[in-house]
Amino acid sequence: MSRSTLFTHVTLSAISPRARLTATVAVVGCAFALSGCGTSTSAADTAPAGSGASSTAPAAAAPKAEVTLDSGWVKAGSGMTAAFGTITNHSSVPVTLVKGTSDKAGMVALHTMEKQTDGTMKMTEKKGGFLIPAGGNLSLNPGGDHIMLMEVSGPLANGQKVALNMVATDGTTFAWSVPVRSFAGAQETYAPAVPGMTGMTSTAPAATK
Amino acid sequence: MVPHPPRRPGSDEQAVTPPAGAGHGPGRRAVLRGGLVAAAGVAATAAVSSCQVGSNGSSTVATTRPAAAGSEPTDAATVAFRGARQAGVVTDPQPFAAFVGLDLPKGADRDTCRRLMGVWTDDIERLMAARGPLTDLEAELAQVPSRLTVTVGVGPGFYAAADLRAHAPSWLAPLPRFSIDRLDQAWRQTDVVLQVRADSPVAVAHATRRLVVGADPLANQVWVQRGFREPLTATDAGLPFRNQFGQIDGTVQPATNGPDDPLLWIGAGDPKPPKGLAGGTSMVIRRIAMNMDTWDRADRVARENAIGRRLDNGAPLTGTKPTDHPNLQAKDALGFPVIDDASHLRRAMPAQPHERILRAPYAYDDPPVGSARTNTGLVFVAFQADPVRQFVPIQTRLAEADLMNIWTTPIGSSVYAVLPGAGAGETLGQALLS
Ligand code: HEM
Ligand SMILES: [Cu+2]
Repeated sequence: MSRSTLFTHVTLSAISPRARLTATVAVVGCAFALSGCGTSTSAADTAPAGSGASSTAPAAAAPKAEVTLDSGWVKAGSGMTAAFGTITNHSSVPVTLVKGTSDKAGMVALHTMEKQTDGTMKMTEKKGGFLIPAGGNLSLNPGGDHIMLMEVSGPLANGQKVALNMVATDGTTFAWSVPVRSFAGAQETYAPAVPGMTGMTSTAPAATK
Repeated sequence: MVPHPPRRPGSDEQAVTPPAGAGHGPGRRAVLRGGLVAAAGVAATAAVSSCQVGSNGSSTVATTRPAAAGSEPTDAATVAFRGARQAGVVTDPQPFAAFVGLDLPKGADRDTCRRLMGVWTDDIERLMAARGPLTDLEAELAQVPSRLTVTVGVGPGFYAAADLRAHAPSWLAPLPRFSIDRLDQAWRQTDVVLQVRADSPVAVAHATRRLVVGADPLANQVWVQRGFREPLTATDAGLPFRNQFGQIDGTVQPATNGPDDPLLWIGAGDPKPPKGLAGGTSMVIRRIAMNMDTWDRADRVARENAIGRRLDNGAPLTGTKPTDHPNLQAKDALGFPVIDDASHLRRAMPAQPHERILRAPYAYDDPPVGSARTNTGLVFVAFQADPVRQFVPIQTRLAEADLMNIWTTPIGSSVYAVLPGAGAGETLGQALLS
């Protein structure tokens, strides 16, 4: 393992608590504290508002939900890349995004980063999709939850736009236009262990456990 | 904003300049951060939804509280990004600045230029609102409002890449060669430029870094020039400051509050402004080395004679206050002019009413190179609607004769068209690149 890889890993390791927090919150289905702008700027912003864990099941007869990606961006590159930002649910019912399509990628998947029993950080499919509580939001960050774009058709260049169509459990589709940005991080998204994408291994091992 | 009343050159009328109580009031340093704007008497605006980026006109300053800064109230400020004109031109110069010259990559075309401006528009809007840009993993550094302004200019290479050469203003070309110039290619003309200014060096460093790496590979950094300046007093955030020769620099300026707009802004006076530049201006950046070692040998009488103004309060040698109009006819007991014919003041004064420029220079004091003990000077920055008509005659006179040339040497030179501001929903350069 090269020094630079180790270094990358230390960085990942350092931010992983945040990633885990985000993931935990999403899975348990707590309501998020609404940050002032729907832009989550610190860990405190995304901390659960209280103890009340609401039902994880989306309401059956849901009114039409509006879900946006705020401050969204896609890392420039080719082959595989990822989209980040803050998914905001403006409706009064929880929404769970389960799949998506894009004009620039053959495959769109919902991923998270998880620490494995051997201490490494690995990308895994986000089981159950992205749950966004009613009136709440979910932060997608390098090192945490993200929308994975695979089979990217041609390089995505800084300053371009990518169309993302994200589909909720009830089939509702949310169309987002997301700017492409140069970004040095999110290296972990570029090393698939198995072509097929059930889980892509991070290039970085854990430094400590 | 503190208005800078106009001086009426070419007439012998009383000059009006910003009151410069030149004394160093207490808390001089404290004003460097945040308090500066509050002290300038800007109306405080309550923190509204902080996600809403100010879209009220150009370069207005409003105090806001950052969304993420916790409960601790601050009286720091942000400057509006959206507006017909870019911020950072008539904005009172903040204490810290970085100027970054960048080139477009080989093979760049209009699409490259459009994408670059799209990226920077969004990044700058967020940074000036005290938020990190989209990809920022250290956004906390952006979240202390520091009156950050970022101003974007384009050079001849930008027009060439965008295939818009025919629309470039005639003045967008290298300045004439002046006999005093010892230009170093390290500070050469570039395709684009960023002027990043703020009350905090942290804010300048962070914004500069994010904008430069955020532009990759649409523009590549060629040089960075950093500068600093202190407001003269706690209450005067205006244009004059003390340069590293100890002179009060920036006293005589065009009005920045309207009357002199035709001198400052493209399209404010000329009926047919160049395509896409109405609301823009030009920026001349001259890097001027100041020889601190030879300056040390000059006594205060010689120093004051060289500039034509007093060192203590910046008053003309024929007056007592900085605002006094210089009397060029006054003679001393021996019959010599009190204000030397070769003094900087005398030579820099407008010969024609239009020969006026808005000077917003920054001192630099970089690590010395080789055996030199200092690497000090001025990042001389001038804004004007037409540099050939307004700046070049002044610089030509100074090159012919100016006692300051004994100690100063221009080592870098570049000229940019400062794009108009971006209105709501617009990107910088939109009118030009459409
Ligand atoms: C290291 C270089 C320079 C130094 C240290 C310097 C310093 C000064 C000082 C101390 C003043 C008097 C106070 C004031 O009105 O601001 C002044 C005035 C002025 N300078 Fe410079 N200056 C430099 C270069 C230049 C250059 C390159 C130009 C333009 C080509 C220029 C144009 C002017 C003008 C237009 C004035 C006002 C003259 C008037 O109407 O009274 N200066 N400068
Ligand atoms: Cu992934």
